[in-house]
Amino acid sequence: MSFSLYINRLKCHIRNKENMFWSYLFPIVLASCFFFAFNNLWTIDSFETIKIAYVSEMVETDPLKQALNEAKVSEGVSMFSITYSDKTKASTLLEEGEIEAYIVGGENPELFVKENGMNETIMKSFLDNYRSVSSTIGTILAYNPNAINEGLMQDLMQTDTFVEEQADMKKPDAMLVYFYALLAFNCIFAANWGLVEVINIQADQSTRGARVSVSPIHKMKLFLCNIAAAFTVHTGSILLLLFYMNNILKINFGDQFVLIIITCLIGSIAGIALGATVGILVRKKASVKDAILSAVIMAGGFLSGMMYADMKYIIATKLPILGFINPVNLVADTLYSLYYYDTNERFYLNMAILGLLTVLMGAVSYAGLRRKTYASI
Amino acid sequence: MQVFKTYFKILKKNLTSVIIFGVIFITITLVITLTMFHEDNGQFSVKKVPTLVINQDTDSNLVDGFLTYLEQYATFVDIEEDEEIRRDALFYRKVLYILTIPEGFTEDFLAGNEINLIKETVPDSVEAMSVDTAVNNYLNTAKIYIKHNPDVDLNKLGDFIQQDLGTETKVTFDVKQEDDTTAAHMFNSFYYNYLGYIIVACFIAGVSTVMLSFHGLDIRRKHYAAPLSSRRFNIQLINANLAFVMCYLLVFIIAGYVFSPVKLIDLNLVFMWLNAFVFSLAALSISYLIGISVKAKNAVQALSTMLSLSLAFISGMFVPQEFLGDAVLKLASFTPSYWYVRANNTIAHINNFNLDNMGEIFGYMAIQIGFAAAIISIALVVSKRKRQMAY
Repeated sequence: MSFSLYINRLKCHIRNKENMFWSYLFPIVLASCFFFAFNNLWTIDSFETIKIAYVSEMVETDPLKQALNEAKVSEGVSMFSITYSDKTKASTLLEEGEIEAYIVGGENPELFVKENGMNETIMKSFLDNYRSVSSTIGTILAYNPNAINEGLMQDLMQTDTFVEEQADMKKPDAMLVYFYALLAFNCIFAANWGLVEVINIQADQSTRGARVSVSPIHKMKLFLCNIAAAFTVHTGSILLLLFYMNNILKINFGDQFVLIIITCLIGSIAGIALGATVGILVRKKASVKDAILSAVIMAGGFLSGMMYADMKYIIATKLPILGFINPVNLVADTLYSLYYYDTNERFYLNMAILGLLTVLMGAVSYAGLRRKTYASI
Repeated sequence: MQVFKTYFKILKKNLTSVIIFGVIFITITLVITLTMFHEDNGQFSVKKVPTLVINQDTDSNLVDGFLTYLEQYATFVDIEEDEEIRRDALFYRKVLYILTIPEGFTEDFLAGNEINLIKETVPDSVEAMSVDTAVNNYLNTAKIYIKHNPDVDLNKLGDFIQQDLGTETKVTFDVKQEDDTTAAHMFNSFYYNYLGYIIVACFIAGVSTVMLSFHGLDIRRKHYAAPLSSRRFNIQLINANLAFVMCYLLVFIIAGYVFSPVKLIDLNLVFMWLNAFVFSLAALSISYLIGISVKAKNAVQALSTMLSLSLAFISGMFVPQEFLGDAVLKLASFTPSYWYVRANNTIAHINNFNLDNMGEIFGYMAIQIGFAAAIISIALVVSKRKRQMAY
């Protein structure tokens, strides 16, 4: 009997093609967009020549002018495109946005900028470097005038890297915060299914609820079967998303795959319980319940770093309790800890808290649903 | 006017949900904007990076001089030398850089052998790069001194390098405007870029909530029987939607002004308002299309989340456009949100309005209007087809 209830409810969901389509497609599209946006985040491949003006104070020989002219991004592409002018003109050009900065040469070159940005930083490093190299040459030549013949210039050009990454270190990658938060958000998105099931079982909320409540079936049994069907459908979308992120987008999830799937499943159950609780506690119309639930999930996603990764750290350091009662954050944090830590302590802690929250919400839902009778609706 | 009035009757019944959406999104936007605003207050400064140094080498003059230099770029944090605690610290960003100086470093370095320091960092972060650069600069310079001046006194070496690297280029902000104006422009550009996200999210959710009621099969059949042409019906519906989203937008604009730390209304802000208005038209046309073509409620929910977040990510509302790859921007340029953000960024950087830069901004706005027109035409075609088939 229970099984046929479950199967029928499952058919109900699957035949609602539009709903199925969006529920399955939505996380995939979102993950793709995250991927597109972040994949290229730190690789500045499209470096363009920076337009600057140079205000020269010495006329005859100006090594800085020469250095600026010779600087190249790559073979054939100069780093700077230089206009020579006086200071007033340069200032006007800067204001009009014709150039990004201007340099006043001399013993201590000075950089004039309009704002703080990538190109401004590049120019500052260039000048810093220029100054320190000139200073080094001066000092060394004072002690060892012959150095220039011993390859000092070549040595100055050659810069080595003196730091290396710790081997086998799993890195706390900021990009992963976004992806884990997204997956967690989708798990908790199951709340929408939970809400629908609650509305469908309550006689005062929907006509179907009214019909079901006069039927001779145990309401809790039906409710659990419906929840199980919703859970099945939602799990499908989560597994698809997980597969897509792991195998196609190649997001690094670490290697504890079984635990990751368990995390997602518990997350989905927590989501359904959350939806059910909101559906029962909020004694308003369906659309208001919908809005409140969406707001709760959105805020949850936001606080776990889905839209702004630093938010996760702000919460973790300033208001850790909020991180522990936010189901989206619990799931995201668990995924992160599975990837990052070698031990599983954090996994058990987070899952225990999430489990507790789920049981609590389940109990509230149960208390709110049971033994309801209506004289008239 | 019946359709127009009915629209607002339905809206009134759904007002609670519309308000809830508005409040949650405006809160999110303000929290992010204010956080980002405080992080970067327009000064050209080197931020010191919290760093943990583990020195396994002996305290040599070389290491001492190096650490003294590094202190200009890093604040040294003391943490127990326990692997787990260290990882936690890195995870929660109490430290951003863990630098290990391996045993025998001084000896090997002075002998010219290849030896590296070991780091654990938050990868690709600007902070990690700044420490990397400092470390490399120091050691590269030290290497040159040792090679070309082998008799150099290690005590003096530190001073020499300090002298070479310690003098920074002076950076001056050459802007002919008050600090307040710059701050206001920055806050507004953050706020209005994020606003693009909530405009899409709130409009789709809000508009389709009401539109769903207009699209029950029986309701539609009743409408078609009424002596009101499809054109007039749609015009009224679009006008009603327009009136609704303009009120919504007005609330967002007022909220942005009220919560701005620098309350300043200048031409830049007015242009941002205008831009937000134009983008609202595009967002409305998308919402309208979704409102008349998607029937399932859950689907609308999923769609509004998906579209708003996707557009926000690829068109540079969350991550600045300059950080996005070329391919992404190409893709994004097929969406109105890209042009919205582009216009906003342009406006924020203008100090003096002239025909050239105003022309540029109006160009971006025109593209957004083009998108709005194209999408609304599709919506009208869909609506017409639906009427012909009356399904």
